[in-house]
Amino acid sequence: MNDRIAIIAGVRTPLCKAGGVLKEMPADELGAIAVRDVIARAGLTPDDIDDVVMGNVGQPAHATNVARVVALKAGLPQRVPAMTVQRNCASGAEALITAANHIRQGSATIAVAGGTESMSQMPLLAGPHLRDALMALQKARSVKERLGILLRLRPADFKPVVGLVAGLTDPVCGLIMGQTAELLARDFHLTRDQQDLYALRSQQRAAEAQEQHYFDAEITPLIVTPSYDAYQHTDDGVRRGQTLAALHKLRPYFDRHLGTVTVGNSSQLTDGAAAMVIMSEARARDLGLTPLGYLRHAATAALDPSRMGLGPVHATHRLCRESGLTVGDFDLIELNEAFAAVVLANQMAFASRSFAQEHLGQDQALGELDPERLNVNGGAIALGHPVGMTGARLVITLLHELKRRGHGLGLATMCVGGGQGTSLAIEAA
Amino acid sequence: MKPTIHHHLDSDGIAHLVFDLPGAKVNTLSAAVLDEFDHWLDVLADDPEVRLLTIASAKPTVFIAGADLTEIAGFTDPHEATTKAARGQAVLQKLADFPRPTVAVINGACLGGGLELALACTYRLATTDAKTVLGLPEVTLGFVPGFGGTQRLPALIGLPAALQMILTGKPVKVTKALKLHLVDQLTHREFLYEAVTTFCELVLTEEGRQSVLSSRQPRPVRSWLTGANPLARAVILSQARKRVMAKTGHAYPAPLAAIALLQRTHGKPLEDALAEEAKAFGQLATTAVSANLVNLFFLGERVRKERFIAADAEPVPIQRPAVVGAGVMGGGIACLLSSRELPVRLKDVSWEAITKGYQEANATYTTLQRLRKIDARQARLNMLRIAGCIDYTGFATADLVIEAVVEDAAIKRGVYAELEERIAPTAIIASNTSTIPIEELARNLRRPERFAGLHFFNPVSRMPLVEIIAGPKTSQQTVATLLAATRAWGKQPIVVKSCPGFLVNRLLMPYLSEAIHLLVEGVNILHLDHLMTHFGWPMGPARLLDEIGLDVARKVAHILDAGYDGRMPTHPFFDAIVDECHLLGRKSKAGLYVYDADGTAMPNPEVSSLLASFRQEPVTTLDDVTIRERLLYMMVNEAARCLSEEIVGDAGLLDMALVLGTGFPPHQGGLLRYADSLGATHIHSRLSHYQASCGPRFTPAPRLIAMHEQKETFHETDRQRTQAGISGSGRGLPRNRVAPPQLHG
Repeated sequence: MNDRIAIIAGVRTPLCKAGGVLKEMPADELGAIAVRDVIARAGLTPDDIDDVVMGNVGQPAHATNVARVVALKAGLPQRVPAMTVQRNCASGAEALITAANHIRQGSATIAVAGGTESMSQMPLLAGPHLRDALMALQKARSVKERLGILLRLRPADFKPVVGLVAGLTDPVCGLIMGQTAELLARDFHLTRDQQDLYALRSQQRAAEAQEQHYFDAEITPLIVTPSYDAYQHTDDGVRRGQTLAALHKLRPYFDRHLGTVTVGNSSQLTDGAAAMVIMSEARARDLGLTPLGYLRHAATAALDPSRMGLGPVHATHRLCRESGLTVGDFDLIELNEAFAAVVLANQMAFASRSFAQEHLGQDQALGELDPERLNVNGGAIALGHPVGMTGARLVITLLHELKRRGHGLGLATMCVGGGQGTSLAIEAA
Repeated sequence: MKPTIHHHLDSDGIAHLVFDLPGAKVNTLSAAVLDEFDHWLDVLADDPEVRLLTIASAKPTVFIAGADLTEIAGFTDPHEATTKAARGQAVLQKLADFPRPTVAVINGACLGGGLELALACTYRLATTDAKTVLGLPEVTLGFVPGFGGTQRLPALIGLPAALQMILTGKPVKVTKALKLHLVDQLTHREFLYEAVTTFCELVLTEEGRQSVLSSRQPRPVRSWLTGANPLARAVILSQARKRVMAKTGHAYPAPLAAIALLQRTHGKPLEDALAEEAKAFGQLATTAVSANLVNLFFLGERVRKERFIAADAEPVPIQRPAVVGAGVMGGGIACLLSSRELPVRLKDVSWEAITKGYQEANATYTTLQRLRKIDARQARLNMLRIAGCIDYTGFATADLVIEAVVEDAAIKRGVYAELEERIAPTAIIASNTSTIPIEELARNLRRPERFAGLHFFNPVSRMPLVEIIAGPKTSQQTVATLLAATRAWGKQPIVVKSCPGFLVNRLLMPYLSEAIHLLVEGVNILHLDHLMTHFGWPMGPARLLDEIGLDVARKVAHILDAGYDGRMPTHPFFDAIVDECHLLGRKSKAGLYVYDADGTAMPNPEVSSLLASFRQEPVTTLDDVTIRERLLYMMVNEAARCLSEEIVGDAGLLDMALVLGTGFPPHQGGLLRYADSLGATHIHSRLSHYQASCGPRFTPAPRLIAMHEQKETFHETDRQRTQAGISGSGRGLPRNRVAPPQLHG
């Protein structure tokens, strides 16, 4: 996969805390707004698009192939096919990779790729007892039979299974994501102080970027439904004036007694959607369009689910090996801040010769992640992490920052629940 | 002449009569068609092979649309009209008495005489097609059903439901019709053939016949409570009368006559009742109100099809509209477009402003949901079609940009300059200006041929009129495109020539200003408004000013003042009430009236003193005739000038524009039809009188003077034109009522 894919435009909604401003906007609507607006920004019409791929993790019950619903609600012609891809936290990136492959294969010419997630609307599920009872009720013939079924239910059976928690828990290693971060903290000896300091820096950088209106170019404001009486144009998880003292006060969330991971040094749960218009470099030239940048290479690697946080180092290792790029070639790096511990552990792993020898099968360290190039405008700790959307956002944020700086090569990389990592090499136009 | 009714006899003894009026889109029951039908009934009644008769239509969307309105429009003598109704009744009675079972196979609109025919059948089978509706819309044309509908409908579906249909004229959909037992069975259109065969076989068996007929029987108690007992009947009818009186008063005699007819004919043998019905029909169909409503119906048909421009201009389909300005009008237009499944880009200077536009659209969709016109899913989908921006994103691919920013020529021209930098050279810019001449707005445009006025009325979702204003450089294709587009959006556009205020506001503003003159002279505000609502306006001029907004009215007044060299001076009251009192009307909860939370209006005491401050002479009591004449003749006089300047094609279009755009009372037939009924001489003499007593604003227009001298009427020349247009095709009763009386801003 060596042909560069031109990314003509990329746009995202503001990211807003789950259960907050955007809680009444389902994932398909958020996605539709991003798709609708990115096509307009690309200077194209929905008629020009012939493929849609969207990433999404918490499949909405009312829109099971959410990409198709997104496409139709965005006003795309009915003839345009759409698919949803799921690679947990890399789903939004996977959408870009999949759509790029469709273009390379010739099965699409101009595609929309992105991700959408409503963490607010993650489903609550019925537990097994309630489920069985409800099924039995449907089959029951008499009132007596129905009463019998209902009477067998206990109050505890009505406790819903929280889809969000279930989704963030690894069914193989049995750990919730925060617990895998705790493991990394222990493995790499990352103290609470180090993590909180990193979190503070993320908040400060995001606040500064917001202050400087760096994000404005990538955000399409939303009119908030269902009342349509307010608009949202900024990410609302950013805490201006965040202090270390305030971060210190938080109790560890995943290991109450001995843990170091708190809600303050973890990514926030937010809602949002992102979308890009992509095509071959040649097509962009023919149409006289100026791309934002290019997707040059992408790689995904997999590893121990309980150490899923190390996905970036594994995926980037593969990316470099396949593309011939080195870590030093990247002017900017977006490494998803799932947890401060994840970023810090990767920084150490990238720089560690022994890690490279032990885990990557190479003699030299992969290369240091320069803090001045890494997550320069903050990340998910301040902005949040709508899981199925983040991968697309990292690329869009990276492209806009590269463009703002005028040139350069960027790396977007993320850890993936379940024990994977995805890395993308992005080039400014 | 080619026959309308085709006959066909199946091998199993089922006879079919299929209506297919040659050369027309709809079937109507003209005298000739009734004769043909009568003949077939005679022939088939004597045919021993016929076991059952079905009646159907070959038109894809219409069963039978009603009587032939051109015949009704020609009636002047009540006896003649009564005879015509009696003839229809006789033919349908023959159908009702047909010796074998009869089945009406209803696909498409089944209205007026068409429904009366179906009611005379033994059974009714209908398709679930969206176009299939059943109704008796006669009252909307000023008369009552005359082919037995007032008798057979209540007998079949009960008095309350029948009253609802007869008094409102609103057709019902098939699901409702089935519930009412107005139809016996439904089928999907695709399976119509099979369904007819099965149904016919069913009702030809004794059990089948019993089961269909018994399912129609209401429970005895309910039927007794809803009309079978004389007391309940009296109560139901008197309640209905009260409702009609509350809604339209005595302005529309037909619903009241229908109620009286039902009261009168109760318990009488059908033959006598039908005679009463025919008599009532004859009387109503020859009233001025009916003539006015029928005339407006034809005018409406004409406006819907009027070309306005050269035949060779080809419209371009509009697929990607954009709107600049997200205010009340911009939001309303965005809502209209989105409701027609068009994606809309909506641009304003800030997101606060765009939010207002969304709220405007959402308010309309919320109302439509409350009225069950659309569901929440559709509303949300339509709202998603509206895409806000503050930077012209997406305008590069727009094919039409509707500008709806503030009514200020310089600001509008600034917007056009920005637009021409960004939009495709093929795109059209249309201004929703309500008053500013097009040539003034087009001054610096690079492509003035692709520019026109497109004046929507407030509220956009409800007002059917759109003025398309062609400037001197506007191309025919631009006009053709806007005509086709607005029609596709469900509006009734009228093309007018550019002048300050265009047609509707140029006529309306002098009327509103005159209301201020009258108020200053001491006329009681409630009395003033009452006189005009009594005339038939949905609200009086003072209330209307509050609805429009006093600031908006002031702006219009100033533009007309400047545009007509002081011939329409702005009353200083407007500046005072806006600038000094800051009263803007309904939107600021206070204007000429004050409004409480639930919208109740009380005269605003603050305004009385302001009005008094402009009073130059002591209060004299003006009689009602003077008040009415000053208000309405002011408009007539300005209308005469508009016709001389060819602002609008003719008097008919002018009348229709006022009915659609301002809610001018439909039963008066239109402003100039009303004026014609009084005569130019009368109007001229009254204007001259007011010119002497009130000032030069009443100076009779040259055209009125000429008409007075030559004893002409406004409509004289159009009439021949319109009639020539009608004679070509048969027309049925209207599918839509004449525009509901609504007001604009």
